[in-house]
Amino acid sequence: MKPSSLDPELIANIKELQMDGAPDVLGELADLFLESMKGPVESLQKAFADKDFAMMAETAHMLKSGSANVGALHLSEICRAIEATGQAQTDVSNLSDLEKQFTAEFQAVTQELQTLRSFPKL
Amino acid sequence: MAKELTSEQKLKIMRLRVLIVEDSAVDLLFLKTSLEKIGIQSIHEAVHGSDGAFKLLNARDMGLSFHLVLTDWKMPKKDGLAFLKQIRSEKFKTRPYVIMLTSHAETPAVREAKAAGIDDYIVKPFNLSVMTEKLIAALEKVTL
Repeated sequence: MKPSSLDPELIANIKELQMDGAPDVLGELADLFLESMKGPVESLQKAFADKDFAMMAETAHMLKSGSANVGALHLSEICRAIEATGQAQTDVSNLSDLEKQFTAEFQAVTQELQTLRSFPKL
Repeated sequence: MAKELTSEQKLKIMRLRVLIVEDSAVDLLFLKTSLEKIGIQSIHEAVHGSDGAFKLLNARDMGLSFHLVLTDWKMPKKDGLAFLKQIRSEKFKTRPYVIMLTSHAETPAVREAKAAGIDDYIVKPFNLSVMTEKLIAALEKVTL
């Protein structure tokens, strides 16, 4: 069974922020992540296609931080590697692999966050 | 588990006026929720350094200067370093306590930020305990 794409410790950190009577923090963050990352993900895909390293580094940076804040640590680490590659522009041999890793992990994170929204109390 | 605040610290925290300078909506929500959980009531937002400098000046002119600024570093329009240099210039006439938000500790960017006048930094992702400790440290330095 594939391990969860959401880091239990980071999810616990988010749950710790919950206040009585306030909207579900984890749910709000998940919704915002899924909504606000559509643009950056499209930009990143275009940057991969165009070999636009500056755009690659910029969008990967944004995705890196946002991912960590919803508990998607592995996705954040992939984004960190993409950002470094985009900044260095020297060793680009692993770009195709990074793109595949990103696509697969982003899909996994999206599914887990959507499941979490479907069953917010679990 | 986050450190328990003393009654005096809780009162001070409630009086802090905080400006978050952050372009990512997800990061902003995480930060804002963390500060609310700790007890900060006056939380304002700016989306980049230019917006942040404008809001700091506006607040100062209204006699409601911010005590604390939490700022991201990589931002469009005016990044964290340019923002910091602007607000640390002599003519700015307000000196909030500034905490930089960064993905790595002790990078060239952090060293550059320290030289330019940040008071502290937080490595992302952080938890409530880390933020609480940083705010307790800030309370020692700000005048309320």
